[in-house]
Amino acid sequence: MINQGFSTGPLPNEQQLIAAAKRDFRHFEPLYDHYYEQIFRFVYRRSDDEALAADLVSQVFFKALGALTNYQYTGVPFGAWLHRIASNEVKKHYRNKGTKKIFSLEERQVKELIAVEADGDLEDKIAQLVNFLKELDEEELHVVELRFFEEKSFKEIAYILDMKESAVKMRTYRTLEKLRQLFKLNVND
Amino acid sequence: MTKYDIRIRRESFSKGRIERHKDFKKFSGMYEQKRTKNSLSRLLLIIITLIILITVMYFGYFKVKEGPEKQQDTPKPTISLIVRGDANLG
Repeated sequence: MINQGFSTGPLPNEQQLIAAAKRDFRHFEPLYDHYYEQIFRFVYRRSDDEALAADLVSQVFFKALGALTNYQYTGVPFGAWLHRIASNEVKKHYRNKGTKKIFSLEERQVKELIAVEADGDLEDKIAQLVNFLKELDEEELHVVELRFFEEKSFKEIAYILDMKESAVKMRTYRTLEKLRQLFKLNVND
Repeated sequence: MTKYDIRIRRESFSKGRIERHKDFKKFSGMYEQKRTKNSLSRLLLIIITLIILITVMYFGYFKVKEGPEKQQDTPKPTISLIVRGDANLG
């Protein structure tokens, strides 16, 4: 997994905090503080625009706070619920704007992913990986992103993408295999 | 033409830069404002709906009280056919 450098796990007393925030939105602050960076990085990766990411993140927390009374713990952390809202907000943004979807990946994280997947010159591999990622379909790209850049569990990814956990696992392995094959083919050429 | 624009960032986004956008006080203020605005809009909508409903019921009541409308005694138009001349009808 790629080291994010910030906490991605749930807060220790998260369910109590959620219950308190349901009663009074001012108690939402610890949750907002804890998840802000995670959600910002996720939205920024999909937008590559700081101001736009800040706007979309505000929208995400507005929506989350508005729908908090409907939130029920079903074994999936609160962070996954926020990611699902964020993912939908980003989708909505691109649908309204009608532009090409952006995936802005950090070189450091890509290098870590490539080091796992292949040997050889990293700079070349990065360029190759970018081209290979373009060949993936949207679902495959999202699975790779959530698994390797967001460090989400299969269960969380299933919740965020509204898929079955077994389907997510299958998708992840197939996508990695696809990338491996593409690298192999490129080496042989 | 690909569906995505995949970009590689050399620099990672610093925590400090993200912190600049994080402001719960501002966020909660905006949320409260939006909530108040939404509540007012909802209240206004309820009032308008009630006014429409009361108006419809009020006029409906009088219409029922008055009974069915009387039919006007207007003379029915008559059509007269005048056959002139010595047309052979038989």
